[in-house]
Amino acid sequence: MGIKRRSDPGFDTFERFLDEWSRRDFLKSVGIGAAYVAFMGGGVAALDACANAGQSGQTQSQTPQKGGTLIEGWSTEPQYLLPVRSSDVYSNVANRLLFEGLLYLDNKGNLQPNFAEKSPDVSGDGLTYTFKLRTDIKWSDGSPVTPDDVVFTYQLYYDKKYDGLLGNARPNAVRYIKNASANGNTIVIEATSRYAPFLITYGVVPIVPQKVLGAKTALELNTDAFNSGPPISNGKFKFQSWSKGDKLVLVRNDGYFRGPVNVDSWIYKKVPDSVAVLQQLKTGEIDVGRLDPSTYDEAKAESSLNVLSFLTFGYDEFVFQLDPAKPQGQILGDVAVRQALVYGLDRQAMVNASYFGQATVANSLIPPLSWAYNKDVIPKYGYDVKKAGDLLDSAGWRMGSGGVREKAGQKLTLDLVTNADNTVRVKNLQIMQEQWKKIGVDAQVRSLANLVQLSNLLTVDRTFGVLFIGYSLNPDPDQSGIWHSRAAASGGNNGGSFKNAQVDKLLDDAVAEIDQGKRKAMYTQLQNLFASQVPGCILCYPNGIYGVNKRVHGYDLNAFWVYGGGFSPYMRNVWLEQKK
Amino acid sequence: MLWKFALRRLLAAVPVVIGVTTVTFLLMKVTAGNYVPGLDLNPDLRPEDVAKIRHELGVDQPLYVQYAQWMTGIFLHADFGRSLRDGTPVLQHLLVRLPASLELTLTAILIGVGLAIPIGVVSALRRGSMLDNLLTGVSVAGFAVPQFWLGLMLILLFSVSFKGWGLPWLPSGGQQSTVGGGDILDLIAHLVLPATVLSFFYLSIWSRFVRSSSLEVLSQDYMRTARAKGMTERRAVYVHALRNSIVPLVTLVGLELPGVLAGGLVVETVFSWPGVGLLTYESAKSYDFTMVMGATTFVALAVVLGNLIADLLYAVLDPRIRYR
Repeated sequence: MGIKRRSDPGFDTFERFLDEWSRRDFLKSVGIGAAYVAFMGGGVAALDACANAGQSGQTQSQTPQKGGTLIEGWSTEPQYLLPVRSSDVYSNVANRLLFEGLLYLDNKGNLQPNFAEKSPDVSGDGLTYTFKLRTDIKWSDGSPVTPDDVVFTYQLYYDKKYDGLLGNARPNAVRYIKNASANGNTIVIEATSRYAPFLITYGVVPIVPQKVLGAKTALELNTDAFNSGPPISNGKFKFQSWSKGDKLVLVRNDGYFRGPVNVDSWIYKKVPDSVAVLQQLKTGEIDVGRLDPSTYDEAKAESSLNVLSFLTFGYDEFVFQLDPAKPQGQILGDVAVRQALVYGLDRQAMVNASYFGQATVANSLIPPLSWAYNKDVIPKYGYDVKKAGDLLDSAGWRMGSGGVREKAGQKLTLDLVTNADNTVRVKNLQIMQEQWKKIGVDAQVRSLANLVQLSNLLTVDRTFGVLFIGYSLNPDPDQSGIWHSRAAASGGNNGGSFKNAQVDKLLDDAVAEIDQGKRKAMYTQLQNLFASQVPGCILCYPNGIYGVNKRVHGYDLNAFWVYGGGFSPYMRNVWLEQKK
Repeated sequence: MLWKFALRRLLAAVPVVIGVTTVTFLLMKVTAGNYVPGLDLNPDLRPEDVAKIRHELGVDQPLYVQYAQWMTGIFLHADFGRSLRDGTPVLQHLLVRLPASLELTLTAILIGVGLAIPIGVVSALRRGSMLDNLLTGVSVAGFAVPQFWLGLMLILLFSVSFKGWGLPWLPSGGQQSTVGGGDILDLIAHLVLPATVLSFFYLSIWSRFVRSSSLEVLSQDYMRTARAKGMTERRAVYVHALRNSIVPLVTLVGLELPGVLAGGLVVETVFSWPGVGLLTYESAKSYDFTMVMGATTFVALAVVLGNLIADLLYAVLDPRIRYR
């Protein structure tokens, strides 16, 4: 389902993206330079507001220039260029520029035909998707992308033959893809059951070459050289070199079926950390970089930079341990305690202090960008210390000596965990500890070294009380991978063991329902149910903040396109002002 | 006999190597266990596939078998294992990164030696003067200041601020410009800041040693004799004192030689210098423990070799040391 753990936050407010998307707000918040950027990407239909462009000092009748190298600086390196193998968003940033699929995502989150001639025909039962492959798609060596390549690619995702192929894409794919076959240019992909997010998940699978990979076994593919340097590609770029720990260089693919992109090459540069990202943006050593919320103001003040800032599909949350077999689960299993803990938090203050205001306090597990978002979620949790105290009192937790509540001789002590290399999360935990102290809860903060350890604690070990983590989500509202009782099995993301039959049913029914209106009704119900059960507290929706050098035009990043989403269509329009 | 001495030293190194590799191996096994990165991200992997993958990597064997295989690999086939992340040989990664580390550390050592000798000698000659106190202060600071802090401050000043003020500025990281780099000026520009930070550390320590050994030498009988027979002070210092006072420096530099291979881990990380230190750091962060083990062992072997070379040089420089 494409849920990825985010290793570090970033991201800024820019109104409710889809509902309240308006050109005025857009211009106001990001400035004319970036507005031009959006225009180039088609984000704004007709930019009549160009009139006030003078202030930025840019001449606006600019025609895209060819050439140049776009350098993106990231503090985390990609790992695998074979898309099915990759489990991290950073690999996807690069491998989606090399490989594209049958469909792509436009800037409204709608699927559009890409390698397919047109949108697929879907059978009445919603189980069979029929695509027609375009005949003009070529690999970068000039040979055609064939239906066999497409079928082979899908086999990597679902076929038993490739059991043992690592990467987080297969488990879900195995569940939902039954078969892929080709007849001439017609490609038929069958689903095992009705699955509403089928196309948004599997219509955009990046196609890889059978002639290069076809003879390899799953275990060979895990560590195949293709992961570090694919010899051919079909996307906007082709691979040139990768000196690990330094830079990954891609060059323009002149045979790209929509025509060559403007820039000569694209570089993914490894930068030590988020501080260095801002420094190198300032010195011009990198053109684009994702920023930490703490550096937002400083980046805004820099005259050479445009700062893009937008709500994304994702949230930061803390999850409660509900498994009664765990000591903390016995305390947190009581819904009143969980509600009290949320009432006891001034979440706006947390957003201000930890995210520097570059996040929106959340009421629902579905982000506001989604069509399924329920803005009138019931109940809503405000900051209410008294209510928190009352709830704890009624649950039998009486204020004891030393300001810590007690029940039957047991103190209300919680184990609070996150990864230490994420400063925003560490800060959040400190604030939570302080605020919960006021309602008589003694929270012990525990930091694990990094996200790998935190993931392991969440998915396997599970000896935690309250665990703080962040998720990047698919545009589709399905979150079975996080909250379904199925995900409570060892290895799943439901590490708090939240098991609610009604939630399971809603999640299952909603993915089996193709009609969006009916789905929305189910998700509305789900969001309310989730809010009343609080198996976790969705703290906020952090914003995506990107610094872009003003010499870069057309870098029209949005929530659908971050981390290579939809194959980064904006990259076609990116061009660089050449140095004079 | 020099070769006998060398052989003796070489044999003495064997237990050291065994000790180092055992400790490294056990330490990594204790921290990382038989963890395979990526397996936990794929909850639906069938147990038999997990077993297959673990077998492929050899982590399903008992510890002593793993250790034996690892050691035979290293010493018989120069095979340091394969990266758990991308399956490529560890040695290949090390060799790719080595030139960058060599470039940085050798430069830093050269600068360090080049400055430590005059600073130490001058301090000794002007013992107790303002100049001596000043140089002492600088070297204490150089030893006390954390490298990452110094590195960040230099980046802030010479890269970010200088650029902001419209002055010529130095790149904030990397070995060469991302685009169109590689010419000699570009390489030097990238080298300046990290080499400064690293050499500052070296020269702080070394200049103290040169100072105290110079003081000792200056009060030796042969120095008094030299002066007594009418040799000028300048000549006495350059001909007799200098050579003797840098003997301990040779040992110290010899001890740093393996550091040449390890690279300055901290400096490389701060300046994203693509050397062995950064590789080790990044690998440790991503649980690629074969890579960390390989890099550590590689460096450990280099330490042994470095000490051996220093010992030999020591004997050549100082005739009082006899080969036995």
